[in-house]
Amino acid sequence: MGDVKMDSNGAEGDKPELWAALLALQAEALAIQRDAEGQIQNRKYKYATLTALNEKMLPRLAHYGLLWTTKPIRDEDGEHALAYRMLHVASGERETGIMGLGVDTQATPQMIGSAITYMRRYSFMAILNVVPVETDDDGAKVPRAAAERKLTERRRTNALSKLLARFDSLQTVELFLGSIGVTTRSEEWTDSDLLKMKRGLEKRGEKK
Amino acid sequence: MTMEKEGSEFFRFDEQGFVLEYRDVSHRYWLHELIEGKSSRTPLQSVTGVLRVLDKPALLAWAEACGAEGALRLERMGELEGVSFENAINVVRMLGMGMDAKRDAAADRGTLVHRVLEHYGRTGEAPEISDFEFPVRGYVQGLCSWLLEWMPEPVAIEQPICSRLHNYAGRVDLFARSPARGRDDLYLWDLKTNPAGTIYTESHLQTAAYELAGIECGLEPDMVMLLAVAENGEFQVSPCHASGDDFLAVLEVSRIMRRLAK
Repeated sequence: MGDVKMDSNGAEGDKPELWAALLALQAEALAIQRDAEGQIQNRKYKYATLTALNEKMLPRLAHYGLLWTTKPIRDEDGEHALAYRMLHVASGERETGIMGLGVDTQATPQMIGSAITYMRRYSFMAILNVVPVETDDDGAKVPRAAAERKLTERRRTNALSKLLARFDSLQTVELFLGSIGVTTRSEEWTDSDLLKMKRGLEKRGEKK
Repeated sequence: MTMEKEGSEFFRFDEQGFVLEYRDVSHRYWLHELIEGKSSRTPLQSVTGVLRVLDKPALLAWAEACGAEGALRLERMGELEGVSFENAINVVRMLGMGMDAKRDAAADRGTLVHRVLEHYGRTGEAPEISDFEFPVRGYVQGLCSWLLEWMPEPVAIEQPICSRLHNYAGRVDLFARSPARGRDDLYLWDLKTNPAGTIYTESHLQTAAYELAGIECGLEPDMVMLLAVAENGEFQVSPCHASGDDFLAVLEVSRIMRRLAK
């Protein structure tokens, strides 16, 4: 398919809110099911449709205040292309780019439409680092990100000690965990949960 | 004191000399009292029923959006092939993709979040967040954030109250004090759940009605508050901006409309 051209979006350090939101999203290690079948010559293959992607990812993007948009355009050379934008709504920080569709200027509207859909799927998966999986009914087949590995007992104990030192009762610790979406069952805590705790405590510190 | 009989709950207000009956199935209220030695059972209007008389433009826009979204989804799924434009909305409704289905889902979500608050109020146990699926989990997160910030100590939970003077009744989510905030005021709280955590105008009238009835029932709040929890785990709090007189004006309009409809 076509070229990828990144816009000038500023240095990475300029977008702390956007990166933090994307980090939290990636820590969820969401798996997208390949829900449709395609065929190229004799080879059949499965792929994740835009519908499957949208249904799984858009609510999570909204949860972290992220807006994903795409727009069919003509690039600088007059070729069909897809402009995409990942926007952190609250801060206005964004990541944008242009992906060429790889269709010639004589392509029919149907061919262009098909290429747009294709590129909408791939730009979305590429920017979010989403990997489609064969099926989600067998946990063993779903890739588990490092962030989702369970903490060792020592790290769990350390984390719990810090929380108990910060809050005045177990009840408030549990409410704090609930407020950041982390289970009270410490044996299930992961690195991703530790990150949520850190950010939650920082947020509370800022409020005070 | 609460008693239960044949689907009804009875709440005694001894000092005020009446009993309030609430039937959950029909969401209806009756006032039981002795008048000149004879017992009487008077139906009361519910606060939420009274407020239905108000025009809610946002609701119209929402209903329109639900119908459009449902139709578009079905069209993309190929379910509307051969269906006329006029009949599309019937298919949307039949397949549970329209406003009714969304309203029912929202009601279920609201009930669930209210139960979480009730359970916390009665037991002091914080909710286990992993017991809830998205999007309810977001609302429960918002509720936990609010509980953490306000640390309410319940005085009454899911408390039915009524105005004998004005013949209406309702159910207050929570009467509580928040000593952790350095004050001993009695707060009346009404909990709302909607995706954006919006506090709608009519909610102020609802809590104003509760305040007025609370005074008659011996539960006079120092502060009347609205709490809205959102799908993204945030919450919003606002003091009630309406007065008892504001609600009584709406109550009067509601009675006029009922009279004219007969």
